[in-house]
Amino acid sequence: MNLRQLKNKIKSVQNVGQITKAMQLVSAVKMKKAQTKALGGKPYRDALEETIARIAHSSSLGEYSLTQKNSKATKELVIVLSSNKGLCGVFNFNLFRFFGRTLKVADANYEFITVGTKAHQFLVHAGASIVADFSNSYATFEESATAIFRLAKDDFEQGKYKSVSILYNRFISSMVYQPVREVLLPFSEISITQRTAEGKQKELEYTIEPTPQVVLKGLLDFYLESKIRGAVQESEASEHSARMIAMKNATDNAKDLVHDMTLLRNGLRQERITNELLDMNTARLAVSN
Amino acid sequence: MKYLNVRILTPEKQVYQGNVQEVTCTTPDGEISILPNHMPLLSLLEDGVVILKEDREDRFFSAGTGFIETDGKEVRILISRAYGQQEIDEEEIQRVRERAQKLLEQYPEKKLRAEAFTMLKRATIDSRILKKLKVRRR
Repeated sequence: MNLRQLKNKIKSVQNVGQITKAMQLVSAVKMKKAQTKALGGKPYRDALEETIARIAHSSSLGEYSLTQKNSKATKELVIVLSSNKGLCGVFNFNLFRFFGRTLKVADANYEFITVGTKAHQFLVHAGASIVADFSNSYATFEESATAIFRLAKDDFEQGKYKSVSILYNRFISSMVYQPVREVLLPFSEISITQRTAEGKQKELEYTIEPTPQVVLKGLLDFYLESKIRGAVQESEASEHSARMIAMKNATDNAKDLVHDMTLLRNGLRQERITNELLDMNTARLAVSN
Repeated sequence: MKYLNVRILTPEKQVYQGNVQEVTCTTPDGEISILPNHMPLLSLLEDGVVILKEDREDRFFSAGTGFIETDGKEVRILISRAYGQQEIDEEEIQRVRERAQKLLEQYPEKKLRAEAFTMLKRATIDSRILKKLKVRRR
């Protein structure tokens, strides 16, 4: 490589570095926003869960259709949350790998709802049956939470599915996220009563107005929807965090490259200068003689 | 003096937490007030005003649908949305109201009409809070 080529190369790498740096900063801001959103909804969800647990023993959960297993159905519905855009490192890749480990994609017993074009592409490629795709139907993924909730709930109540679960990247901290699969439906009585046992066990008889059925139905609906919404928010926060990390790595790489190439360039330049000096010296010697 | 520890939670954030003497809210069966040592209760909430009576002043919230739960010491209000009195803007209410009325006139579709009605209902609730505040300030 000659000196000019090297100079051009350095410049282009520097430009790329600037771009990735900018993307990193943007992602950092977006992550902060998504994070406060995801964490802000947490007390609400916890309180809802606690409330359900508390009243679970004062009225029977079993009567409600969302808690019962559809014994006839064989299919499972899986909601997959990914991203619309790439350039976010292993964010989607990890999710899909987790996918391969936990369930068979092309199995006829699974049907999918996808959020994010990446998941859609992956599943189409793998030959899975997709019921609905919410990648571009709303301005933000969060707005689609209500629609997903309705779809999943209606289909489940009609007895189409054995279970409904959601697959997404859970947000742990700004550096760490983890793919998880959570079962949404049916609400197993076991998991809820277990939580009661862990918490303070208060044997209070609640007066439930207007009727336990109405309230419980509403509560479970609320809980389900907020759980889906929470998952969407966490997935979004994880996406931005993943992108931030990926872009940070890219920026660091660009810096290293520039550093190495600058050394090389300096060497080349020095070589040229030395050669020129030598030429001049030999020319001078030739003339003086 | 006994107090109720009240938390108002929405999917976005915790709107309020504090000790109050009395909570008043709207349920499908009508308005109820909760005092300390109330019997354990879980009830639905409708769109309406939530009034919290603190030591010095009353606080008003424009609340969406949801639930209220109490065991006599703590009160948890889980609702879809809540706006404190400071966040309510008179002009905004007027604007929403006009938009809702326009929608009602223009669109005979059932779904849109239902939406417009909720908008109108909320605007009415908001303006009711403002009125209450004004009466008090005089």
